This record gives sequence, C-alpha cells and structure tokens, in this order.
Amino acid sequence: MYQFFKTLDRRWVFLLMALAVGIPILMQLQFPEKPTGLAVVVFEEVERLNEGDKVLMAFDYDPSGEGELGPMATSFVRHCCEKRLKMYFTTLWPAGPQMIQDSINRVIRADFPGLVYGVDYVDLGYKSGEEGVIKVIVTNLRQLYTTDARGTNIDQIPMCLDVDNVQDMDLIVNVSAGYPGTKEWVQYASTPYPDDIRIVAGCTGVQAPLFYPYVPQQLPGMLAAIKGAAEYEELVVNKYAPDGPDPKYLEAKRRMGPQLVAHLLMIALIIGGNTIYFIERRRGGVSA
Amino acid sequence: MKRETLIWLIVLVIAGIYLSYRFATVGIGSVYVQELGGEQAEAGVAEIAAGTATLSVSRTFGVWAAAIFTLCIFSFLYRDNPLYKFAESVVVGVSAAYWMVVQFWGVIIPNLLGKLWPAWIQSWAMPGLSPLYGAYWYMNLIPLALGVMLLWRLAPKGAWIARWPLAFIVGTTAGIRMVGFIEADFLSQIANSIVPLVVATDGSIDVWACIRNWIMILGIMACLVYFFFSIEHKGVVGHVSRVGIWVLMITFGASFGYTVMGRIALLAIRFEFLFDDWLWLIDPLQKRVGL
Amino acid sequence: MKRTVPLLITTISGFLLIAAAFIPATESWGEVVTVWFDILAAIAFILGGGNLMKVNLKKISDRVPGWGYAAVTLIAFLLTLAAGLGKIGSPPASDQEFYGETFASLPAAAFPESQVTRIAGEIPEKEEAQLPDSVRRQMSQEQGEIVFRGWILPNQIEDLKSFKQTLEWQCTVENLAEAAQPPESLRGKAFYYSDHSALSFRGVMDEASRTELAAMSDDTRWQQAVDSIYEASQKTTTIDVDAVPTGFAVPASLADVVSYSVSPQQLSMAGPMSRSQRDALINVFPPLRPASEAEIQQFIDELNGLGEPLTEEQQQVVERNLRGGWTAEELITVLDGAGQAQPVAKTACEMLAEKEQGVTEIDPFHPPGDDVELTNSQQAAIGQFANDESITVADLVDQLQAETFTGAQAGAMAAFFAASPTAGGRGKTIFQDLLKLPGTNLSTGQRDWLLADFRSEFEWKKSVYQLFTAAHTPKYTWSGPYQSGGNLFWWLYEYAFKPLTATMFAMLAFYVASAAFRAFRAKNLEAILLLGTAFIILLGRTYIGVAMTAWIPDALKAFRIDELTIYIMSIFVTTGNRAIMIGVALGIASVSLKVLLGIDRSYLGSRED
Repeated sequence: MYQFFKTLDRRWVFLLMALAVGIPILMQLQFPEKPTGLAVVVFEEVERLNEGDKVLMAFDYDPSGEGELGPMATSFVRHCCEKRLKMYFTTLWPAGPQMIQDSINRVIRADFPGLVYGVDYVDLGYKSGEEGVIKVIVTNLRQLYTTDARGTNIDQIPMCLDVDNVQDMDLIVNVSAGYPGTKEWVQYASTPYPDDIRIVAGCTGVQAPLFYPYVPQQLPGMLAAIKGAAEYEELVVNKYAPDGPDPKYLEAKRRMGPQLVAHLLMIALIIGGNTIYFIERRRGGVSA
Repeated sequence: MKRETLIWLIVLVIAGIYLSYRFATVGIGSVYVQELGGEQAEAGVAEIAAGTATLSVSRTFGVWAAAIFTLCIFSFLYRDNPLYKFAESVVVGVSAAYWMVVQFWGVIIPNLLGKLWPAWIQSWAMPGLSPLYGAYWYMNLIPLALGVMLLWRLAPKGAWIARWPLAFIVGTTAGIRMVGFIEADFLSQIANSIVPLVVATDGSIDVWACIRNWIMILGIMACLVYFFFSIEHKGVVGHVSRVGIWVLMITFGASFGYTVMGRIALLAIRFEFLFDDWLWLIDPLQKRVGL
Repeated sequence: MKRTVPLLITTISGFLLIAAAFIPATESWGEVVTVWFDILAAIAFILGGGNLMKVNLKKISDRVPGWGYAAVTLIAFLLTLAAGLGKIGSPPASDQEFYGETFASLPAAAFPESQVTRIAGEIPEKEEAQLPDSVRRQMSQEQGEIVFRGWILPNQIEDLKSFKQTLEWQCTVENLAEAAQPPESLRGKAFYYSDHSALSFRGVMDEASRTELAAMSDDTRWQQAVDSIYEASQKTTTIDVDAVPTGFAVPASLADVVSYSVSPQQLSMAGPMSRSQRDALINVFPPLRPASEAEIQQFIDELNGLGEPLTEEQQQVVERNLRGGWTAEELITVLDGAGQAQPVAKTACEMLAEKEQGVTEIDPFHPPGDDVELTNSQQAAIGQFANDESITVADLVDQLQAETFTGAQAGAMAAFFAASPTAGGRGKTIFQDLLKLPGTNLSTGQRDWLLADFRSEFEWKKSVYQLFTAAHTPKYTWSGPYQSGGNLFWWLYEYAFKPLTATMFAMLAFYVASAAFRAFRAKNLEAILLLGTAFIILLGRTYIGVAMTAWIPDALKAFRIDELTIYIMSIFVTTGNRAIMIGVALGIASVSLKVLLGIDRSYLGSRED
C-alpha cells in the first residue's frame, strides 16, 4: 500500500482532480454564500454613487482569466446598470475588447435595452502601452483616445464631452487578471491622486494576497478570486433581484461547488503526501 | 505500448459513436442564431421555439472545434502527443496574429497613422476622425521612425539599428516604473504602516486593535530585517529574522491557498463549456429549457 | 557610436519621465514621451508577429524535425491576420453610415460661392484654443464679417456654442445658424459634410431640387456631384416578402417612398432608407388593447384546448401577463402630464437684447403658458379606443385633435404606445414566464399558438431590415469593428484562441494538485506554518469552513475558520506582502537607476555587430 502510493503515477492525481471538479459540475452542487468584509465594502462603494455618476470600467483580463473574473465583470455591469451610472469601458489587454463586448451583450443589451450607447455607456476600447496608458489618461484622455472602439469621434459622444481625464470619474472599477492590472492602476492612478481617484478591484486568486497592503488607503475594496465574486454576486442579487435572478448572475456561486470538493481533495493530497513522507522518514531511508 | 494504443483506440471509437448518436438525435453542440440585417445574435429559447432562429453551421462547427481543441490540450496530461502539439501550434499562430491585429486597428491606425495622415485615414478607415491636422502633428514622425527602426530587427543585416527604439522603451519603462513603485509601493506602504500603537476609542483602549497594530509593525520590521543580507543573521538579528520568516511563511501559505482557488476556477469554466455548450449534459443558464 | 546613442536615449527619456512626475512644467513632455512609448509597444507586437513568421519559415525551409507544426503555426497566423486586417465579414460602422442619405464627393473649394454665408460679427480670439475642429476649415474672419463656407450642421452649432460662453458670441452663433442654411425648399434634405468632403441629399432627389441645386454654381465638380446624387437616389430597391402583417397599409409618413404590391408579394423602397423610416415601417402593428375578463378567459380556454390543461400556477402567470397591459387611465395621466406647460428657453439673442436694455436679472426662460388637460370628450375617446379594436391609432389622433392637443402630447402618446408590448411581445413573455415554472410541459400546438404573433412580427422585421440593407450603398466599407460578432476574426477568437488559451491555463489546476501530493512536505516549523495557513484558507474560503466551525459561540467567533481567514489575510498577509513590496520597490529603484545611469547595459545585447 505504502509502496503503491510512494510510486504513484501523477496521472492518477490528475484524474482525481478532474473528477473532483467534473462531478460537482455535473451534479450542479451549490452551497450558500455569506458576504464578508471586502466584498461588502466594494458593494457599498458602488451603492453610494448616484444616478448619472461616471464609472470607469477597466476590464483588464482575457479568456484565461474568465473563470474567476467573468462573473465579477457581469455583476459589476449589472450593479452599475441598476444604479443608472454612466459606464466607460476600457481595457489594457489586447484580448480585452472582446471581454467588454461580452459583458455589454450579456448584461446591457439583454436585460437593459433601454440604455443608449453614447449616453449611458461607451466602449473606448484597447490602447497599448500598459502602465503608460494609465499615466497619460489620468491627466489627458484625448491624447490616446480620439475615438471610441467603433470609430466614432469622441467629441461626438454625448457622455464623453465633459470628461477630460480619469480624475473626472467618480469611481474606477477594475477587473484584473495580471499585468497590467490593479497594481498599475493603484500605482499610477489612485496613489498620485488620492483625493480624486477611487478604485475598487476584482482580481484573480493568484494576485489577491499581493494587493492586501493597498487596502484600504489606496484600494478601498477588493474582490478576491471566485469567492469574492460569489459574495458580490450574492449582494447584488439580494438587492436587485431577490426572487428569481437570471442564472447568468449566479455563475460564481455555481463555480464554488467544485471549489469546495477540489479544496478538500487538495487537503487530502497534502496530508496523504506528508503521511508517506513521515512513514518514509520513520523507516529511515530518506534524508530530510 | 501496443496495449495502451489499443485501449485508447477503443475509448475513442466508443466516444465517437456516442457523440455521433447524440448529435444525430438531440443535436448536441448546435448553436442557433437570430439574424437581423446581417447581424447575428445568439438565439434564446423563445426564438428557437418560434422558429425564427436558424441553425448556424459555422458556430456549431466552431463549438465542436473548440471542444476538440480543449481535449487536445488536456491530452497532454496523459502524455505529450501529436494532437497536443498540433493544438499548441494553432494557438501560437492565432494569438500572435490576434495581438497584431488588435494593435494595428486599435493603436497604429488611430494614434500613429491617424495623426500623421488624418485625411487619408478618415477617408477609408475611421470616418469619425477629424481630417484636420492637430497641433505639433509632425512630432509623430519620431515614433514612426523609431517603429521602423524597431522592425529592422527582422532584417538579416543591421539589426543593431533596433537598439535605438529598444533603448527608448527601456528608458521610458525604467522612468515610469521607478516613480510609480517608489510612490505606491515604498513611500505609501511605509506611511500605511505607521499605525497607532495604542488605539483608544471613546476613552477606552481597544485591546484587539492594539495587538493587531503591534503585530503589523513588528512583523514588517522583522521581515525587513530578514531581507537585509548585508549583516550576518546571528544572535539578535538572527532571532528577529526568524520571526520574519515565520510571518512570510504565513503569507506564502495564504498565497498558495488563493492560487489553488484561482487555478480550480479556470478548470471549472472549461468543464462547464464541455458539459454545457458541447455535450448538453447540464443547462445551468437554462438556454435549452422546454426544447 | 552604436552603443553610445542608445545609452543617451535611455538616460534622456528615463530622466525626462522622472522629471515630469515632479516638475509641472514638464508634465506635457512626459505625456508625449509616454504616448510614443505606447505606440512603440504596439509596434513591438508587430515585431513579434514578424519574428514568428521568420522563425517558422526557417524551420520549414530547413526541414527540421517537427516542421509540420511550424507550417500549422504559419497557416493559423496568416489566416487570422488576413481575417483581422481585411475585416472579412465586418459590416461598416453603423454610426458613420448616414443611412437615408446619398453622398457625392465634393471638395470644400467647389462649394458654391452663392451659398457662402456672411454675417456681421467677430470670431473671439482665444489664446490656447483655435476654433473647434468641426468648423475650422469652413469658418473665417474677413473684414469684420464672419464667413461660413457651407451649410452649418447641428454638431457644428453645438461646438461653436461651447467655444465661448458670452451672450454676444452665443447670439452670433444663433444668427449664423439661421443664415448658413440651404434655401427653404432644400432645408432638411441637402447637407454638406466638410469632414467627409461630401455633398449629401436625404431621400429621393426630385427634378425641382435638382434644378435648384444645379443653379447654385457652374463649377463642373458641383454639377457632377448633383448629377451623381440624382442618379443614385433614383434607384428603387425591391424585395420579395413572404408575409405581411394582417391589414398592412404603408404608413402615411412613408407613402411617397415605400410601396407594396400584393402579387407578387413585394416591398419597394425608392432611394435610400433612413433608420427612422425603417423603424416606422417596422412598427405597423397596432398596440394591444387592455384585455377584458372575457378575453382573458377566452385566451386560457384556447390554450387549454391545444394541449394539457394549465395548472393553477400557470394560469396565474398567464392572467398576470394579460392583465398587465396599459389602461386608459394610465394613458390619460401620461397625456395630462405631457400637457403641462414647460418653460421655453429664451434664445441668446433675446437675452442679449434684454441685457442691452439694461435688465440686470435675466431669466433664461419665457414664462410658461397654460397647462393643457384632456377634456371629458377626449378622455371618453381614449376609453372607447381601449375597448374597441376597430378604432385605429390614426382615428384616435383625429378625435383628440378635434380639440386642443399639443405636439408634446402627441409625442408622449406615440412613445407610450411604442413602449407597450405588441401581441408578439406579450406572447413571447407569457411563453418565457411559463417556462420559468418548474415542470412546465407545453405541447407543440400550445407553443406555436403562443408564439405565432412573435414569429410573424419577427419575419416582418427581418424583411424590413433586408430592404433597409439592400437600399443602402455602403460609404465606408472598411470602417466597421474588426471583431463584429459573426465575422471570421470573431470566429477564430471565440472558437480557437479563447478555448485554447483558457485550457492552457486550466491545466495548472492539475499541476497544482500533483505538486501538492509530491512536493509539499512539512519538514520544519516554517513548512508547517505554511501548510497550516494553506489549510485554513482552503477551508475558510468555502462553505465547509463555515459549516465546520459554526458551532463555536459568538463570544469566541474569532476562532471560526472563516473569521480566522479574514484575520490572517488582513493582518499577516498584509504585513508580509507589505515588507515584500517595500523590498521589491527598493530593488526596482536600484535596477532602474542602474539602467538609466548606464551602469547596466545588458539590454543592448552582446558586443558583436
């Protein structure tokens, strides 16, 4: 038995992981979510805004991050639509424009058809340069954005007429999968202009611990990984669609099902691996 | 390896029969679209039931292609094989071209060529652009020149010309980064670390907040002592840096926990695609209710 | 030389950016340098693509083992590039197409001298700003007069108004807006777009308009433009339609351009179709009247007859939808609200006149007129309309206009009906609501009956869109988004790029599991701390952590796993990462300085060449 586990082919571990994630998805296992700390702060930050306030939706992710960040983006857009905020979409990732388009189609065009492009929301699109873009647009938006993503002159878009730079925004909502992302927004936007720029972010699990030092002075609130997304979804759905929300607004909650089983598997694997290690050590065959 | 090949062949044949059967009877992996004025939108249940939606052959083929690509990549977990290599080659080619196209239409046309030849760009690519020259438009010749020099790197001779724009990129990155990091990651973090050692609210001392602040301040100092390698870590310094290591270990443990969460979410969405969009085994978004 | 100049470039650009962060006067230079950096970053991607091609071509030509995969990479690359650069399958940008208008190229110099407007006035001198881009080419100052070469457009008027806020200038702009228009007979039909260098005519150009326009100038370019618009706008587009709405009649507003023939069933459009004309042609379905109790019962009976009888819950859903339409009272309230007098804004010239007369406190609005409320007979007419399907909207409008009925009220009524659902919309909503109930099993007959109106409305809409697209000649074929849903580039993104990159990343989940089993050993105190924290986080961030320690009483709730997680993150993780950040920042600062001061020259490459 011990020999079997000691020389276990890692492909069996892969299979276990596949089952741990696949079976809960097939069985559509779901668990209740209780919103905590930072997710509540993020929710309150968006809630305190008034109708017509400007929000910069910086969606800095691509399909590789969609698992965790897609639900966050959907919920953010829904929340802003319910509050009738003016949404300005941008991205610093080359594959970001499609993510923006997906959110617009999934939420705005499907559930809020009364919102008008150019008046309630606008897609400014992608610009290259990573943090260089942020550095320019915090003082001068038109240096880089002369048109929106569709080629319309920015001076002909009603909601862009009174926006000179990012400091005119009432809130920045950043969904970030890596570089460039939340760190760059904090470094080049909210730190140099602490009184004019407020940022809330949603980020992947890998990055989340790295941003805790920024909370709360430079980054008032943050949604960390799929758990943060699930908690925020819960808050938005409880407030705006308490009976029977559309299933697309509960994606993160659905993905928490396989999370739980997989986490238990990870713990079991770590304990199992260490058990073998300690048995081996006791049998005196290996150096520590 | 022959037995292995035989087993895999049997598995693939059975899977093929199952998939063909399901496709023929239920139509798994099909995508219906509603077309209006040349624009296609994915059709909902009502549109399919009403008959106003049409089966989109290209999108259905796309779903099957995406599923097969996904399985090709997953096959690497078993062993490196030609299917994986094929899928890998496709992704390298498509992503390089994708990024090139995005840069071209998103940055080079509006921000470079659109500033140097606005009337020409306005006439065919961006009708919304103003055809008038902006102030100091000729300054944009510099990045154009640097860009051409950068592309010279591909030439067989004279690749050294690309050093100029590279130097510019390195210099600007260093300049931007230095100020950004010092302001946000150094000075601000030190400022945020200066927290009251005795927290008093309404005249009474909040013990837990005090303990928390003490832990933070002492923890940060211990970690920084650990990072200071110019002194030998012996004696008092050694003990303090040990405490620093413990704090760092807790940090890394938490990072590991979050990383696991992130990775699993990525796998979950892939499985959702396979089970929902391709195999039609689950329907969490109720796209096929009543059909 | 080969290495000195790059070093200088690095130093100068880097220090310029650092200076720009501290010295406000240099901030604009810093912005310019950063914009150049952004452009070079874009070109670097092109370099990447070019390099990929070079490397793979070499592999193929050298026939290295595995060159087949290089060929696959190259084919995928070239296909995606062609699809993206060529915008294969992308429709033109809908906001820039000027639907309903026919363009003819006309340079600004060829604009008729007889149409140039001259009014008295002075263009304000502004130090930092020239005239707005949209008017700069057409407007000039000549001997105390403002000269405008063209017919002014609404966006140009807006831009000029926001140029300077004084009443004098605002009044001048209003005078210019009045004067710089085509003759009365052509107003609203003929336009000149200086940015597009195009003369434009809305709809079909008749002989009278053509003659009038041709008479404005002898310039051959002008004559050619007018002639080409005349010819192009005469084009009639005809499409076959499968079905028309019952009782279809071409709306009055479109009677002179749209025609319908019964056999063969065809719809024709003379000239190009604008978006508002398209929408008017689509919205020919009469608004649903409020359903009476008898009608509701009839609806349910008919639905029951086509399949399984409806359950209690399903019946409630159907009734709720049928009762949820508009009522006569609602419409009356809306119309009374629209009839309330709104203050009318004074023009700038009126306010200027008051100022010159010495009025100190100028009210920007005229005193509002009297409120208009619906009379009893008007209300009765609305009540009759709600109950009698034979009365059309046009009949109702006639009845209401017999007495006082303002334009605002007419507009409010049109908007009210446009917002209320049609029969098809209601049927679709009932269908969707029924599906939301668990265990609903509608028969094919019930489904088809519920959605029949929706289907016919959609087919009609589709036909109108078809006519709309066929009647339009694209002006800027390459202006559309490169990634519009459905085109080849989008397909490659959605079904190749997205699943492949996402799956590549998803593989990491497996590797993290394998690493956990084989490598994570609790060998010493530090490792135990790390693994212990990992356990707490892994459990605490899922429901199981909450469930495992929910029994701990509130007084000791700090020991519940989910609370522990929060404390670990906010205290220890913040502490550790803060220290790491400070260290990293110092490292970045030192590396950056080494690069900027030329101490670290590794980026210049080796000393060869």
